[in-house]
Amino acid sequence: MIDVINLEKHFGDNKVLNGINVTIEKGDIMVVIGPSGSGKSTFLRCLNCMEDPTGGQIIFHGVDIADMKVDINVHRRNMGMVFQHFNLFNNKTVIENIMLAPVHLQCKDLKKAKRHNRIIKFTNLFRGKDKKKAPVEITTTKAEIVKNARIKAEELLQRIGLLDKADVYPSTLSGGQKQRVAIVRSLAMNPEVILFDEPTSALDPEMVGEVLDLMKALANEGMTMIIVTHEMGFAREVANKVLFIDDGQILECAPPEEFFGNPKNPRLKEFLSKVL
Amino acid sequence: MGDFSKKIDKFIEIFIDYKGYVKVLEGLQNTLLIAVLGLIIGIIIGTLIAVVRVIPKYKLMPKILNGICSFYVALFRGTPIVVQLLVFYYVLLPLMGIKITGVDVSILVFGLNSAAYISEIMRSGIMSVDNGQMEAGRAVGLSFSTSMLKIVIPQAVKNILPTLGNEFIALIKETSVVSFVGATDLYIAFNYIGSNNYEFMVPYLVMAMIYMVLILIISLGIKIMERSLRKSDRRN
Amino acid sequence: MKRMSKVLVLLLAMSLIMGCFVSCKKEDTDEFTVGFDAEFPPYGYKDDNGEYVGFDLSLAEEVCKRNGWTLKKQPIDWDSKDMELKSGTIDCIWNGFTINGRESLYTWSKAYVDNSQVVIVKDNSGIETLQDLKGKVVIVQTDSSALAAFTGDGATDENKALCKEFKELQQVADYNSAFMSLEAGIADAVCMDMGVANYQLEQRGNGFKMLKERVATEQYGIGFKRGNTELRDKVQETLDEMLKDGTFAKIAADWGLSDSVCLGKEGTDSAYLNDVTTKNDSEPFIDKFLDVVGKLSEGMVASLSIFVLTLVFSLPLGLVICAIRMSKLKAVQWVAKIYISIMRGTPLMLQLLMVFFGPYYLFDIALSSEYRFYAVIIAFSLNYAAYFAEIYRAGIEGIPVGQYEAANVLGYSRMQRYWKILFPQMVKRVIPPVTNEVITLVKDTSLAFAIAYTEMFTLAKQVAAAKASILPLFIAGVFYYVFNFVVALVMERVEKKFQYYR
Repeated sequence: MIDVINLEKHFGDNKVLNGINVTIEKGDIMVVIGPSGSGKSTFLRCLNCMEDPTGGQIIFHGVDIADMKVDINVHRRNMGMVFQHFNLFNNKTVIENIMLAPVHLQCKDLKKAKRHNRIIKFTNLFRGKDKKKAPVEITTTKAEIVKNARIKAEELLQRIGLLDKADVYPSTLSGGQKQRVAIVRSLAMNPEVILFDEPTSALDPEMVGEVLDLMKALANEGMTMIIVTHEMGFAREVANKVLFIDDGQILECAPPEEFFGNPKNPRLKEFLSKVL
Repeated sequence: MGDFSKKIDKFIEIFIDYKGYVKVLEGLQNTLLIAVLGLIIGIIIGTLIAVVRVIPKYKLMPKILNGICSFYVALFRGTPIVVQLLVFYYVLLPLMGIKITGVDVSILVFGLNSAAYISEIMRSGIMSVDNGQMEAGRAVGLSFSTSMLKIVIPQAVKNILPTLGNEFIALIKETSVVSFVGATDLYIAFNYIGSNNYEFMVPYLVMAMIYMVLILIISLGIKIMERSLRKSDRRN
Repeated sequence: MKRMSKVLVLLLAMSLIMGCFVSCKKEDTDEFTVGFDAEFPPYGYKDDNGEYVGFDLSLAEEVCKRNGWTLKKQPIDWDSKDMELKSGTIDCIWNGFTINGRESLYTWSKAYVDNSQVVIVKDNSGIETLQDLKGKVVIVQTDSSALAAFTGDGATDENKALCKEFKELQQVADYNSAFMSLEAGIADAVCMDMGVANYQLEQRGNGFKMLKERVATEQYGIGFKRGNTELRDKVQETLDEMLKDGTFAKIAADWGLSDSVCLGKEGTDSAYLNDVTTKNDSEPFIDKFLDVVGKLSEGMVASLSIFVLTLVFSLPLGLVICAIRMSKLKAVQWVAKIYISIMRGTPLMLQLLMVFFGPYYLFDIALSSEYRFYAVIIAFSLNYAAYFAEIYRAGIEGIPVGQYEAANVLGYSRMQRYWKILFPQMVKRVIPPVTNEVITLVKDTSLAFAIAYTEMFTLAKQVAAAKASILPLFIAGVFYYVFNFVVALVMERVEKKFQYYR
């Protein structure tokens, strides 16, 4: 689904990513680990162009989204992202956080269709009788979009057991609750893949479990996920591919049993001996 | 000379019997008109400038725009508003062949002037909003401008509201210089009463009181607004 | 969310409408705009009903009526009259406008009023003749004929010599502040046109008198933009007509000016005949520029000294007020609170006027002419101290409580704690807001014009009026800009010095 070809990223003279090649298939649960400063977060952020790559290609659905000319916003809708610091919109309630993007984008499409129809209606005046163009069919209204989005958002909140928090502002939630809301916020867009950027690093230990459980549930449903994390246990249990990045390069890529049981790269051996 | 009550009587006589209050109301109206419209123009242009100045600058166009905006800000913040008023009224607008009244010129100049200040206030407000908010907006597929308008700017506005209120108060006080382009403001109105009376102390004291009351009311309004905007970080 | 975008759209729409109504003011060809000084009775002033009236305006009304024009009375700032005329915001200056000395600057009508310059003094001043004015402070209106009579190119040698003997020749913007200064003892004499003097004496009653000697004689005419003979001829024809059928004399009688009108008498048309043929001798721009800069240099020094002295006094004074504001006693706190709210709640311009005229009007203290400068410094220092006090307070309150606690634990006394721990940290914190305030101060120095102190801006306006050019204003703008630029640079340096810890 995603082909990363020779991806490079440097900030000034500082080379952070140094030619990354990897392929992600549909349904993959890929965990990325590595020492701090190795470039694993940058790698993840390059995947949906939060950082613009300085070289290489990212082929997503046959389109190179690393190309600056591509409208990245369209592709980002299919790539959810979850941040270390949650980044819930502080000025929106929980449910508004979830509904904002779907409602806004669908309304935009609706408006576009309406405008298109107006133009067709106008130009039809000058067309011959049999040459008239048919307008695009509009099946929905703004109220319906909002209604559907609300139903969906409530379902999602129900799922994480936070329906009673729908109308509060994020500042009143605990860290674990915030992160779970952030995860369902990205789910609301029906993405094909979700990127997790150290989703549990900023949480108190007793809240890590609830977030990881939600992620496991998603994995079991067959969601494609790319996860940067330090939770080795989670990687071993859930991932089907584990990636080790150091100095901006992939040093090892293997299924978890092999990755943890029989590491080949000396740097990875050293790393594992420290963290396990 | 120390006959203060006599002076007050005389003031009241001119204020009421000689229709001094009409002048004062006209002056008050102009003062408020200039300050309010100036603030609105300032907020609109200032926000635009602030946004231009926080756009990432990899490309040429944002760089040029940023340069123009910082020059604009430096120019309007670096010279006294009186000079700006005179230059606009006597030089720039006549050069362009536009003939407008002193009040209109004042609104224009006060708007442009406060835009420079508000852009800096707004910029600091935008920068005080965590970068993650913008990133999250982009990550769910919203465009830069939508994320800015729906997520970052509302939060920025909440942060800068007290400063914005101070800017409005400063505007009200600064309007006392518009007499230079022949606009009647509070200052001129009371000067008129004073010159009919050959006594300026009482009118000036009354004028000072009017300014104080105006500013107290505005400060109160700002406080109420702040409270209602703070609901998103209140813990229930 | 929806509401927010609606509000935005509304604001945009409002500003658009504003823009239209700002730029679309129509230009009416049948409008005749007369520029006049609204504080120059009986020629043009506001009456008790707030209407602009006067001898000149009555004449103008009659002229308009006969020509089918609509009269627009545009009060102008006397210093700016040339700019108004040049930029076309007014069609003519018709307001006891002296021809003498300005013959080649405007296209003139025939002289219609003969007026002379006289001197007004306080009744009990002991001044009886012009010679008594030696060593006294004399006030004239900026760019008035009285000023020209003393210092202008056409001034007589006697007047020039007399002027040198004055202690000071002050220029004020209008006659009201002139009389206020005279009353308050800041000045000893006011020199002005006879017609105005008569009117002012009548209105103000006792306490003043007019010297018998005259400083100069002069004639009034209507000034049009140079070269605009077409309009001038139309107005002149109408005036001549009015003279013939007696309307002119009637209007003059209405305003009590029958003695001074001179339209149609001999020797009143020299300026009228002297039509625009000579172009202004165009000196090279650079000479003009240097000339203006030279003239403005005095104002630059004045502005700088206001700036420096205000800082010297207000920075420490702010500390004192801050200490009072943070005192433990509620009552004492309130004193500072009220002081700050008054200083921040009223325009600085108003405070300047209060400080300047207050001592006399409220407490009957006679003032000397040096007080003008002191008043500027006092008002600025008092005002800025209030702002600085609030900045300091925010700086102190922003210091983490841990710093107090640590100081207390270490057994520091109250004073030690303040000077050794809090003050240095506070200084670092307040530098950015203080910088903003200092930059505002640079610009605010221009407000000293309110009490006619000759700083940069006042001078620039005076020179602009005298030279009939806007160059001085531009130079003033550049001056403030450069001044601020330097201040910003210096403050940046200071800020860097304090970056020894973060």
